[in-house]
Amino acid sequence: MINLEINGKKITANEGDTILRASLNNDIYIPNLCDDKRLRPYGGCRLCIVEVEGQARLMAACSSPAVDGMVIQTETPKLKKYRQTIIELLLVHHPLECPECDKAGECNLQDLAYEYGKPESRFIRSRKTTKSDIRGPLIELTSRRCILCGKCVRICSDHQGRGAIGLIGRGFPTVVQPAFGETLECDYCGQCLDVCPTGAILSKPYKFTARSWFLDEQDSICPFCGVGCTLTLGIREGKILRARGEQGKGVNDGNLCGRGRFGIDYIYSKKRLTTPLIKKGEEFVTASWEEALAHVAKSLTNIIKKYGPAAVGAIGSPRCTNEDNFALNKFIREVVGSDNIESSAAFGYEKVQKVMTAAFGTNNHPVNLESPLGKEIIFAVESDLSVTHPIFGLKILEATREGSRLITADSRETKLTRHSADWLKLMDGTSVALLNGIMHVITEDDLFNKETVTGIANFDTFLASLKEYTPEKTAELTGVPAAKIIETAKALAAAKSRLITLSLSLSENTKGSAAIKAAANLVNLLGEGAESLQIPAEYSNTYGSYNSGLRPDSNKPGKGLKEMLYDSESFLKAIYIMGEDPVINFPNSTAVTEKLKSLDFIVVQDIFLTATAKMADVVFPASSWGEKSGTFTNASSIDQEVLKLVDPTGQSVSDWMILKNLSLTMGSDLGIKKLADIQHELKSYHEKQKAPEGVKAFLTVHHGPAEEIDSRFPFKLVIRDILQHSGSMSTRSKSLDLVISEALLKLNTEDAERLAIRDSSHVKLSSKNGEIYLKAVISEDVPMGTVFVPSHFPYARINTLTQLTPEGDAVIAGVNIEHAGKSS
Amino acid sequence: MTVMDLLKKIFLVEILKGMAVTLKQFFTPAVTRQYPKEKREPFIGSRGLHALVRDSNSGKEKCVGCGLCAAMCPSECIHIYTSEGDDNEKVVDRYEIDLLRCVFCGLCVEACPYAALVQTEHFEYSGYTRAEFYYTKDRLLENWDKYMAGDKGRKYIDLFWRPRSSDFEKKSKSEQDRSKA
Ligand code: SF4
Ligand code: SF4
Ligand code: SF4
Ligand code: SF4
Ligand code: SF4
Ligand code: FES
Repeated sequence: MINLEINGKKITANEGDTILRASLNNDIYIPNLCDDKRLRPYGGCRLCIVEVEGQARLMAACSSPAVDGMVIQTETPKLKKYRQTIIELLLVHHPLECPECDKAGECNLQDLAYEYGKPESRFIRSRKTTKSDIRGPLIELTSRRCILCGKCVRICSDHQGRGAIGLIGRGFPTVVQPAFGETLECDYCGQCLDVCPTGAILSKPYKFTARSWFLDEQDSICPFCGVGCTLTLGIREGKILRARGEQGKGVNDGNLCGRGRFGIDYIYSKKRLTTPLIKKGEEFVTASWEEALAHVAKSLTNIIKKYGPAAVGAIGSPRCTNEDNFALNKFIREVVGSDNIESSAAFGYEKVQKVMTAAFGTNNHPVNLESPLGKEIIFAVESDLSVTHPIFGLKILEATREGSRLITADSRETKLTRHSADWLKLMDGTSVALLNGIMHVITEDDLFNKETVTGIANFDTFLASLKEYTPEKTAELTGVPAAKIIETAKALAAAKSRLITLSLSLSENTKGSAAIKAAANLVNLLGEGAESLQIPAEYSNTYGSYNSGLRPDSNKPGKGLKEMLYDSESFLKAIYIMGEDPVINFPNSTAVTEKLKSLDFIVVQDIFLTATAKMADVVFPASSWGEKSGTFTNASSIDQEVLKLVDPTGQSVSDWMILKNLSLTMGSDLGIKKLADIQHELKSYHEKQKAPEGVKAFLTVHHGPAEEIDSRFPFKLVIRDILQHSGSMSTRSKSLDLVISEALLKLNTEDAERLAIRDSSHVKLSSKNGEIYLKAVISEDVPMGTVFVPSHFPYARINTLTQLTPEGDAVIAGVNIEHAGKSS
Repeated sequence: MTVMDLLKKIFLVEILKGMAVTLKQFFTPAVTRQYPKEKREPFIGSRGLHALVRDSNSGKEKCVGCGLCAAMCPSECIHIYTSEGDDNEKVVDRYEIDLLRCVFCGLCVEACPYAALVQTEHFEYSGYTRAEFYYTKDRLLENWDKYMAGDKGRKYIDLFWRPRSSDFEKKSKSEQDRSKA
């Protein structure tokens, strides 16, 4: 802490702060155009000049460190004159088009011109007239308004690690654009849009829809991934028009990814459900709420009477609020009397929780979004966290900039591999072998923490299990050279602090419980605690819904998803599905569809008529995010309020309210009248869930080969997430669809040549479970013998091909590729 | 009470004074106008019904939908909706003034950077429904044709738009000259 005086006010600042940071942190504003706290000082605009006592020259506050005892003046007549001149010069070529520029009203340049500008300029030259570059989706570049502060270029390359735009040219004609004047193709995070102090970079979906002063801005939580960013939403007359990040707010501190910034328009999809639907024969007919509720109440009561409550099951949703999920939990347990309830977390995050509890004895495993910072080594195992959890990914990049060594193990190039010091290029689905190989080296060379492992259960069996993973064998299994494995093991063992991180999504099929077990073993072996293994929960409320009772109680006979949807034994007669689309999102959709067909009664409560909803007997229209209040719990276990910002679509009603009304129709009162009642009860429920800590244990695992790849199905089908989408919900966003709107099959050049498949041609993809048709793209990113598909797009029905193992993991399937026309 | 006061009271002096004033008014001409039989020419620039200026070249509104008028309006009765046109230009889809809420302060006219909005001298309008006082873009443009016909509009803008449009044109011309040089 250092002390200084600014404009007569005594302030304290952190050592190493610049004068500008110190003063802004103390609410003293110094004009600036090229500074951002996420970026290194640039000193380009010179507006931040200040007078420092004892210094003859004026100093740029953004690039001068604050020194103890400094006495600084930020507003003197001299500074004013200088700033006036700077602004005057900035405006010489600047077009006079505030009335047509979407930035007006929140434009830093405009504000400064208002404060410092002179009504008449001494310099008159022609104004820039270059046309806007409107070619790319989502982002529009208007170079004529650019003041060359370089913030966009720096945020894109230094902070986002992308480097998609640059300042091209020299002197006055310099323009901001992608290299070689190509169409902008980037991550579409829109961070440049937020940092640009002028209207040179603007959002296309928001273009000309409202002046900034017509907007009412409110904060809510992003509905997509588990990071739980705070979005500052611009609302005009009951419609959400845009989202932006605001520094100082939320876990993201102003950063956003493209999904949160552009994807929220899914709530305005034309396909939203507006009324309850009842299936009569093969068709749906619209119904009133009373009719639909009465119908469901009657049918469920009959089934309970006939088969007992255990014949009814429920599926909750990581997209719904804690309150919604808890209401479902109460409904199924108290009104129906069944214990069969789970959510898609069963295929993802639930496994993380279970494995970590088994390995570390701890009960809850929130991630620490700041955890990458200050670690000597960060090891990302077969995961691109900058895709699944973009803002967590940014923290990893930030850590590497500050000197952490990033090691990635991945089969293809990702943003993380590009920024890593070491990239272990492994074959898909072999992370268990790799981790075991690394641990083999560590144990062979006695590099592990002997004091701590003695207290951990199963050490000897675990040690024995590693025997076979010699570096040579591991190299053979994974494709990573033995020397690299040894080197990585040694580096991990020698590091003073380390972080092992991965993601486990519902749709990814390259890793499951086994990979987490292996990672947990490594952490235990190195003598670290659960905090060194960071696996963020997948969706906006995966963490919260899991803790709101969406799982069978351990001491009751309840059944989970696997038993409900995949067991051949048919105890289930009716199912209540809230905010989930098992037919599309769950592995082996053929099995799921068969199962659903065999049921007597299906109720779906959703915002869209999903593939599952189409199979339902009754569909209830639910209000979406933004149309209802509640809380989301992000991956770091922070409860955050999501606000009702706009009116519900059609006759839709909040999920918890539907369940409350249904309970009333079924003659029982859930004991909830308003949202606060649920929140109150949820609190005491959480208290009751607290369990004592268990013991640490090693969990022996082996590399299990992927599903048999045979001559009939010779290709490995790898499913991964892509940056622009999150689950299948985001595919309903008009904006995100502009970037990627269909599932493209990526296949290796040589494979394509061999099969005579041309780029962009349609192919038939078949596995032993079924077949689908996709468009193929040829790419160098994909190893021979492997094909990549993103999972998100409902129309592609990727899960027709996938398979669920008895352990509940989705594994890499063997597939065959043919020209679309041919029959097999 | 003095004797003087007493006398004044007795002879009703105050009342007589008052009567004198009344008598004087009796012979001076009346100021009351027999509206609507008798009408007065409005002063130029008086703040009546709004009109959107029609650009003589394009035949369309001059307004670009910058929203400054709506931002200034103290009664928040101007509603503007824009969108992107086919040529990626800004299009004013709707421009509406809810006249029943307007206080005729003229701030909207003052705010407009393009002299696209004026207040005409027309102030006599009546109707039986609220809708009649909800002026849409087309009706506001019609007002221009109707009440600012000929060079009336031009004159109005010259006189009341700040910076005066003629000064502005002069200046922008000199700006051009200088930039050519
Ligand atoms: S960038 Fe700012 S100053 Fe320039 S035209 Fe747009 S609003 Fe006006
Ligand atoms: S586009 Fe904006 S952020 Fe980028 S250099 Fe120009 S003014 Fe700065
Ligand atoms: S998707 Fe995740 S990282 Fe992106 S804005 Fe939303 S919460 Fe943040
Ligand atoms: S005259 Fe005043 S009250 Fe009426 S529309 Fe204009 S700004 Fe609003
Ligand atoms: S201020 Fe003028 S140009 Fe701007 S919206 Fe109003 S009338 Fe149109
Ligand atoms: S903010 Fe300091 S030079 Fe631009």
